[in-house]
Amino acid sequence: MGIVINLDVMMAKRKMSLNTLSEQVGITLSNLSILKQGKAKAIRLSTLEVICKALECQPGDIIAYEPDEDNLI
Amino acid sequence: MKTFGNKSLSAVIAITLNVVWWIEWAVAAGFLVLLAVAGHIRGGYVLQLPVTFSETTISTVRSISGNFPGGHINTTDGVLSLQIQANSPNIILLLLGYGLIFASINIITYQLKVIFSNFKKNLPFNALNINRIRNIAIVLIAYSVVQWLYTVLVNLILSSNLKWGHMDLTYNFSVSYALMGIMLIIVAEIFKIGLSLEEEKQLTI
Repeated sequence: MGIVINLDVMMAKRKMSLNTLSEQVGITLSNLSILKQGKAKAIRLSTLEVICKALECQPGDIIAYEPDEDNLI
Repeated sequence: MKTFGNKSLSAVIAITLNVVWWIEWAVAAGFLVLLAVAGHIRGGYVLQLPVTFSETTISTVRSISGNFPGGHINTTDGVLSLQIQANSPNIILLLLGYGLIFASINIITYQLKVIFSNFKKNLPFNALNINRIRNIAIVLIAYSVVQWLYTVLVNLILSSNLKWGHMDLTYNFSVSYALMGIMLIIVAEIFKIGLSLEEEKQLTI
């Protein structure tokens, strides 16, 4: 699976919609949607910072690593 | 003046190329009309071929077959003038030859027109642009090869039909067009890298 984005999980915990988050962090809805769907290739540290600030969480709450099933011993 | 976008250098070039493209079609149409009229009125055409020769006193050539009567060389500017009849095979050959030249020029102009239109829309790194640059490269390289083959072929035809002093058409392989084509293939690869960087930038949040 690799890097997994759990943005929707944190948004649900904080009861925040994508629109609200977009307004608070200053990132477009489409970019947040790309991030939420796991289609982003990279995320800037500054972006991660503002998202964590808005959702009052740690980076590890949003980004997780899940090893591929093929790599499991 | 900025390079890409509206009111940029690319916009000016895009408009210019659009005009040039239409002019090319108008010239081609005019040429066809002239070809038909000249063939109808004169019953023949005069082919002019650049030649190099070592004997400057030659002013006429002798036809050793009936195919090119009345051949004449202008020793001032090195042009061999041959009269040919306006019959169907000759007309078809002329149309084929000039048609290929026109097609090469027109294809290149069209590809450039679309490339600069994309530049005008601020889309320099575009998969279609890469293909178009490659197309231009292929046309340039093919043109070089066809030009060389044409020179060899015409020289063979003239050698077997005309008698003269030491005369030869130039066997030059147009290295410049071939080199330009190769350079453009490299440019296309660079654009490919640019496209991947652009895509990565767009997916960086």
